[in-house]
Amino acid sequence: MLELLFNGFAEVLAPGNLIYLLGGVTAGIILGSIPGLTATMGIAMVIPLTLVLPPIPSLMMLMGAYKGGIFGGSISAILLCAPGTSAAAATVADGHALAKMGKAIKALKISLTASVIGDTFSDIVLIFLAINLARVALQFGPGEFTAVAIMALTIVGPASGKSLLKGLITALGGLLVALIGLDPGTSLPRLTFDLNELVDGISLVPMLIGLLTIPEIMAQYEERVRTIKAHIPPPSCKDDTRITRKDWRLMVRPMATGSILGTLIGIVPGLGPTLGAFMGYDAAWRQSKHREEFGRGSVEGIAGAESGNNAVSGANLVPLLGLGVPGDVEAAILVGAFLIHDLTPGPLIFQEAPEVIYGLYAGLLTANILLYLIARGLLPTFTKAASLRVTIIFPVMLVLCGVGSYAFNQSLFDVGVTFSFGLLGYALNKLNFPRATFLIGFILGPLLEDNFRRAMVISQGDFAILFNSPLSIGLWIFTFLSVSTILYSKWRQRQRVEALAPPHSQQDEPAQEATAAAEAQSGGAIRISNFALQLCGTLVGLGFFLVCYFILFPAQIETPGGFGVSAHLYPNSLLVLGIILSALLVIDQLRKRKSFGYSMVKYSAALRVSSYVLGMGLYMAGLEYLGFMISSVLAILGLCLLLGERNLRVVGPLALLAPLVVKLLFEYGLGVQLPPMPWVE
Amino acid sequence: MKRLKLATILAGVFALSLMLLGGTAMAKYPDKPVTLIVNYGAGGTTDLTSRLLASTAEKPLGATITVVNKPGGGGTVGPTYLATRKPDGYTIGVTSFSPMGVAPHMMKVSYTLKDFSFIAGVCRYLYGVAVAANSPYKTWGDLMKAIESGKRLTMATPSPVQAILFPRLAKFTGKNMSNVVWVRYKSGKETTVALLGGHVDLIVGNPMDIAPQVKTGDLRMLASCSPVRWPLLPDVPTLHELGYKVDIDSWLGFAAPAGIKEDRRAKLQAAFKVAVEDKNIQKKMIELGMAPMFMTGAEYGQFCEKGYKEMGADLRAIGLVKKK
Repeated sequence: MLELLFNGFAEVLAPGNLIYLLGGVTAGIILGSIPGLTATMGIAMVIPLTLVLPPIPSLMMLMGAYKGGIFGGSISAILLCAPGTSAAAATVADGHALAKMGKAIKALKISLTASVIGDTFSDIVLIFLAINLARVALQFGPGEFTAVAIMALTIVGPASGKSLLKGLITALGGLLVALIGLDPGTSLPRLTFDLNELVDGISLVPMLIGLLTIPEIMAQYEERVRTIKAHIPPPSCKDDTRITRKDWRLMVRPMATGSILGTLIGIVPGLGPTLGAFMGYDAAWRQSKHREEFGRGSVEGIAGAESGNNAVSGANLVPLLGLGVPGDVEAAILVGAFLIHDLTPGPLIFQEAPEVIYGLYAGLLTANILLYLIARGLLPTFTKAASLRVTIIFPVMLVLCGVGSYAFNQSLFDVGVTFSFGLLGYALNKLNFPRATFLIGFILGPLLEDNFRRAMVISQGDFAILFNSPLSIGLWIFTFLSVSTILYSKWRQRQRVEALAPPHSQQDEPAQEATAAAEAQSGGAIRISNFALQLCGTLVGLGFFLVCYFILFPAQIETPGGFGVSAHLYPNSLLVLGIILSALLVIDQLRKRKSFGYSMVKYSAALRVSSYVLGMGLYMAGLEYLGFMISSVLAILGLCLLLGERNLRVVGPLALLAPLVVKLLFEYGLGVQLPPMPWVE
Repeated sequence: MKRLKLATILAGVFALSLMLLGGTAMAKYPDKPVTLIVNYGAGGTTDLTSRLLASTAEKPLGATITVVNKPGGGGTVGPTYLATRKPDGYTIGVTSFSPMGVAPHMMKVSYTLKDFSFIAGVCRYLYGVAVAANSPYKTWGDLMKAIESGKRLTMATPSPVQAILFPRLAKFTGKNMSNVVWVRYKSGKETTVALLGGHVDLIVGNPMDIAPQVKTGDLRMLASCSPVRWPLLPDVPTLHELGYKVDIDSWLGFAAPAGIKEDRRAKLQAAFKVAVEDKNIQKKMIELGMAPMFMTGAEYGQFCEKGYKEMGADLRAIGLVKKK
C-alpha cells in the first residue's frame, strides 16, 4: 500500500498534474473568499474542463478547488464579516472580532493552520481506514440521525450568549424558516405561497450573507464617519500578525477535537462541513477556560471551527470510496467526474484502478501543503484590500453581497432574500437576540425533520424507533449530558453574576442619564426605553408564532394521509415551543423591567440607516430594471457620498471600476451572467 | 461646410448601420451562440448529459452552444424562465419529463406544455427496483409474493415519480399494494445508503444509485421498471418481460419557447439527432446511467402530453396533488 501511495506521489508531483492541483487550489481559495461563491460552485465551474482531461488531473483540480474553497470562505468571514461559504459561518464572530482589533493576519493564520491540520488528519484517516469506516456509518438510520440532530442542536446553548431563552427562540425561528420548501414526507410544496423560487427552500448562502453581513454594514451607517478610518486597523505590534506560543497552547486542544469531530461527521453521509464547523466550535467552548471570549475574538473558537470544517472534506470521501455514495453535495459532483472517465466510485475501484485512488490520496495530501503555501502568499493581498477606508469598502461590499447572492442560483429573488434577512439580522442585533442560533436551527432543521418524518413512516408513528439501537441510546445519553452541563454552567454563571452585582446597579444610571442628556443637547435625539424596545421585540416574536399556528400553517401545509404522523406534528411542535418560550421571555422581561436602562437614538443615525435601507431597496429594483452595471455604479456612488466620503477623485473611478471588475470576473471568469440591461436583449 | 460634412458622415454611418441591421435579420440561422438552459445544478446527471450533447451538437448546428444552469423549484425554474424568452432559436432549454409531466400536478407553475415548441427527446432516465444482497427476495416473483401476502415493506425513493410504481402495479394486477410504504429521501444516493444500512426494504432508483453496488455484490436488482433493460445491467429483465404491463418512463428532452420558426426548430432537432447518434457520446451517456435514444420534437411533445395525463391520474389516486 505504501508503495502504491509512493507511486501516487510520483504521479501527482509530475509537472503536468501539479499545475492542475495548483490551479484548483488557487481558484478554490479565490472563489471561496467571494461571498456567495461556494466550494460547490468552484467545483462545478471546473467540471466542463474535466470532460476533456484525464482522470488524475481532473480529480486533482476538483479536490484542490474543494479544499481551497472551504478555507477561502473563512478569509472573507474574518476580513469582511461575510462568510464566503456556509462552512465559515462559525468563524465569523471570533475571526472578525480579532480583525477589528488589528489582528486580522493572526486570525487568518490561525484559521489556515487549523484548516490544514484538520484536513491532513482527515485525509490520513481516509487513506488508512476508508473501507472499514464506511460500513460502520451505515448503522445510522432515520432514528439515529434524529438523535444526532437533537444532539447537534445542543450547540444552541453555547452559541446563545447571555440569554439562553433568546437563543432558543431564534433557533426556533431558524427551524421554522427551514420548513419552507417541499414537505419531506409528501414532497408537496409547503409554506411556499405558490412561489417557484421557494420550492427548494430558502437558499442557505444568500440567507447567510444577509443575516451576518448586512447588519454589520448597517451598524456602520449608524455612526457618522467623522474621521475616515480604515475598515480593519493595522496591527499594533508584531504579535498581532503571528501565532504566538501562547496562541499555540490555546489552539492545540480545539484543533485536536475539531479534527476528530469533523472527521467523524465526514464519515457519516449527509452531514457536511457546516455542521463540522459548529461542532468543532462547540467542543472548543466546552473545553475552554476562557468561555467569555467566545464570540469576541477567541483563538480557540477559530481553531475549533476551522479544523472542524476542513476535517470533513477528506473523510467525506470515505462513503464515496467505501460504499460508492457521496457524503455531501461536493462529493456528489466528484461522482460525475469519476463516471465521465468510466470509473465507478466505490470499493471496486481499488481493484479496477488503484493508481487513480492512490493518485487521489497523494493529491489530497499534496493539496494541503499547497493550500498552506498559496494561502500564506495570498493573505497579505487580501488583508491589504480589506484595510481600505470604510467609506469605500462598505458600498463595494453591498454590491458584492448582492452579486454573491445573485450568483448562487442566478436569481434576483435570492438578492431579495439576502436583503430581507439583512433587516431581520439588524433587528435581532438591536434586540440582543443571537443570530448564530438562527443559523444553527436553519442548518439542522432539515436533518432533524427529514429523519424524524422518515422514522415515523417506517415505524408507523411509534416513537420507540428513536431509541431502539445501542447507537441511538448512546447519542441520547450524550445529548442528556450535554444539556445538563449547559444548564449547570448557565446556572453557575447566573449565581456568580447575582453574587457580584445587584441586578440594576445604581451607580451607572445617573452617569448614563448624564451622557444621554448631553447627547440630547448636542442634536436631535430621543430617549427610548430599552425595556419597551425589548418587550416589543418579544411580543412581535410571540405574535409571529401565534399567527403561524392559527392562520399560516393550517393554510399552507397539506395533509394527505398515510405518512406515519400528521404533516402538522413537527411544525406545530416547533410553534408550541416557540409560543411557550416567548411567553416565558415576556414574563422574564416584565419581572426585570427595572434593570433595563435607556438608550439614545439620534435622528441623524436613524435617518442614515433608513436611507441605507431605502438604498438597498433601490439597488434591488435597479438590478431588475437597469441591469447590473448601471445600478451598481449608482449604488456605490450614492452610498459613498451618504457615508461621508467626499473625495470624488476616489469615488468616481471606484464606482466605475469595481462593478466592471466584478462583471468581468463573473461573466468571463465564471460564466455567471449578471443581470443585463433589460432593454438590451 | 464643416457642418455639412459632419451631417454626411452621420448619414453615412446611419445608413451603414441600417444595412448591418438588415443584414443580421436576413443572415442564416444560427449566426451567434445558442444558449442552452439546464434546469438542474452543474455536475448532476442531467447537466452532464446535456453538456455532452450540446458540445457534440455544435458542429452540425454550426454555432457554439453555451450551457447556463438555472436550477431550483424541483427543476421548474429553468422551464419557467425558458417560456418567457424570445422564440428566436438562440435560447433553448432542458424540458425533462419531471417539470413537464409531474411538477405541474404538485405545485403551481406558470407554464403549460403549450408554451414550448419541442426540439427532441434525447434519452431515457432509467429506473429499477433493488433490494439488499441479504434480502430474502431473490427474484421479482419473491417480492410480489411477499407483497401479495400483505407483508409491510418500506420503499425509499427521492420523489413520487418512482414511488408511483406500486400504485400502478396495484391498478394493473387489481390487488391491494398499500402495504408497500413510501419513505421519501432527498436524493437517490440517500436511498442507496438507507438500503445498504438495512433501514428500508427496497428502493426504486436509477443506475447511478444502483449499478455500482450491484457490481460490488451489495445490492441486487430485481427488475428494470423502464420499458427497456439497463445497458449497465443487461441481464435484469424489465417488468414488461415479466408480464406486468407497467413502467415508469421519463425522458430528457429539449425545447424552445413556443413560436420558434419551424426551419430553426428543425435545424436544432437535426443537430441533436446527430449528437445522440454519436457512438462515443452514447457510451458516455450509458456510463451516466441514461439510455440514449432519439425522439423527434413532435414525438416528445406527444409523450409529455400523454405522460402528463397519466401521472395526474395516478398522483390524484394517492392524494399527492396540489390543492386547487
